[in-house]
Amino acid sequence: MNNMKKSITLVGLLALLFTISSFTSNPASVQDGGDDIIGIWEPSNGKARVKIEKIGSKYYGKIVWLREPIDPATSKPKVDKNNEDEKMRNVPLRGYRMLKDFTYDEASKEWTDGTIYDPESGSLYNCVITMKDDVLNIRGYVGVKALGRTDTWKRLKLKKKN
Amino acid sequence: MKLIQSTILCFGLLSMMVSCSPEANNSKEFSIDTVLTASGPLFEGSNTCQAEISSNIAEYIKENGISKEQIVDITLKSAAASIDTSNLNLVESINLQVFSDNFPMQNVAFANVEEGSQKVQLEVADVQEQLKAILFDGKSYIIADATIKEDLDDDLNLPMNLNFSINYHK
Amino acid sequence: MVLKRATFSLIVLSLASVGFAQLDSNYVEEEEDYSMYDDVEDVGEIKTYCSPKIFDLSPNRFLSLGYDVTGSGTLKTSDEGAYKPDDDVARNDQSDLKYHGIRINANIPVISKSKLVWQIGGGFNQARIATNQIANAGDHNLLLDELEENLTSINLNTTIFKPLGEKNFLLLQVLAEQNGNYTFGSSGSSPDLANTKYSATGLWGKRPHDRLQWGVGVSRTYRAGELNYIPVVMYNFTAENRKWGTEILFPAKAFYRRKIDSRNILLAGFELEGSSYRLYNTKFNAQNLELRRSEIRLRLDYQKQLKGFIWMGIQAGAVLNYSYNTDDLTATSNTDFYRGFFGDQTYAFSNALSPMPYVNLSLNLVSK
Repeated sequence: MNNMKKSITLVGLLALLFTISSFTSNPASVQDGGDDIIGIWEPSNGKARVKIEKIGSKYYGKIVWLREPIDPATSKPKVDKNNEDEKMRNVPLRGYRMLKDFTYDEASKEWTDGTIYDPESGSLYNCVITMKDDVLNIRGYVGVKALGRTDTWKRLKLKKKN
Repeated sequence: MKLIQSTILCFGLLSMMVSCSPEANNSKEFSIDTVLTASGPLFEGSNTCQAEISSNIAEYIKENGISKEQIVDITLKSAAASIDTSNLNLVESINLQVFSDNFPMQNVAFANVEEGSQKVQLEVADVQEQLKAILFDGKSYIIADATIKEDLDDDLNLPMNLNFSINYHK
Repeated sequence: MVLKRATFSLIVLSLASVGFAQLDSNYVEEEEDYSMYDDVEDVGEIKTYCSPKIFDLSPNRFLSLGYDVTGSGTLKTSDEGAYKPDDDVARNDQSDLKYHGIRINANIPVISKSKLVWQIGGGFNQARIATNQIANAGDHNLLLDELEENLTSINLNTTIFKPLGEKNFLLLQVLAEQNGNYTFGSSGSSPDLANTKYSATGLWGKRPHDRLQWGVGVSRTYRAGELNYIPVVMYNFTAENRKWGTEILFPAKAFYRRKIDSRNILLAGFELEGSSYRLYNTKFNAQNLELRRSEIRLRLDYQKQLKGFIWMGIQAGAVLNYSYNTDDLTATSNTDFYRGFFGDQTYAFSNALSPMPYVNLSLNLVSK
């Protein structure tokens, strides 16, 4: 049993080292606190869970869970039916990237220059994100920050499966 | 009366601002062939296949005597994906997106995949913005969010053929 | 089992990293089993509050620039006198009357968070009135002179939406307005702050789900032309098929909403518009005249997205004039009074304006 534990620890350490070494190929990703946003988050209405990840040098948030995944009108999985582009209205909402193109501003500790998409209305808002104590303040706005609304999202962690 | 005229003028100017853009009178086709890969194992649901575009669009327009300034816009005309025979009936849908380090991600094409299809023709988005900027940017990327029906131990490879139209004026 | 999983993770990591290296070393993408997001626990702590909106409501306007124009109606007036509300008044003089004017309104959020929404707004609305004068019609002509100075309304308002948890909320709106036939130039009369009118609405509401929001409250309002205290009922609803709904704040407005798609909305119903307008420097005996102007606007309202958050609105319908009487505030020392629906204080003029068609065009910066 002890041997097994040691092996697990060793494998874990190796995995960690490997991960760190692959991250260091992109120094920007560890120099600032931008990656703190990576994880799973839930908006205050609790209707969805969004996984924020980094692609290239920017951050993206993908819907990974929906409280009501089935559209009552069609009895099928929800799709982006309010998209202004008619041809893109069949894209499934689960897996949809609703947060896009955020970059981290080290000086202001904000994730900026991104957008947030509201599938309920099909509206795309400019967006800025700040974080405090595992809570995100996500402000979607129209043109200028004053014309907007802030929602709070809480961080989630996956329960360990027994 | 002046008030009516000014109001009409305001509405007129605004609609012009909304609708006006320089017109292109020529176009040239340009294609990119690439393989988008999601490294397995993969799980049921939306998985991301990705590739960095090594587009030689700058060389291509030079060969064809077109300058970057002449290009009004670039639009995706068609996108086709091939599905490996071992993955037939696995892929449910493909959502294609492009972006670059300096320009935002755009959804450019989508398809619900019919069972047994080896070749999938994606429906191209009507609204396409900043493709010119993305393709000319230092690093550009293509992402295909592929929804799969069941878990897959191996990589998922999606060979993709993208045909762009370079719209320019002489 | 655990060891196997750990080893597997390492292999996955290696494979993934190799795969990325071929494409772009910056990628940090991994695939996952979506079912694992079913079972989560909170790390961050937030409280859930009900939203101020429901699905598919017509867009909230941050800025609105509109132009309003009516067809001709017939204004019948009495002579200057004292007329009880129920009196059968002889209105012997009449003229055609129509108006047009711009409407600029803004509504800017000061605080817009889950736990509190506070907006401040302002508006400039004008009715530039044109009439045909009747020769030797005495008081009638003098009243037309007053109206042709144009009716201007400038207001400041604030709205607070305070959620009381996940289902209940409070809504408070306060409005101060300056209405009258004033101007800001050297000719004519300037507005007097003493004539500012104040309105307020307080409402308690429930939002049982994303398609229904209802509330009850009270309002001090001038929408019926003169000061009134009335109960109000809110009922915003969207049908399960998301194709239709209602937008009701009775008696101020009630609309049936038809969603053509998320960028085209059609509303049918009415809105009660009105206020009390000070008539400055009159040639009548009475010098503290208030025009109690109120109209029910029956209309079809088509709202369409032009681009992004710019929407246009086209309204067409009929203006049913509910009140056009005039009070003299001299007896109450130039302070407004409450007549309500049952009071019998007399009017200085008893007037009536017939229905007229109207069109309103607007460009709006909205949030959905």
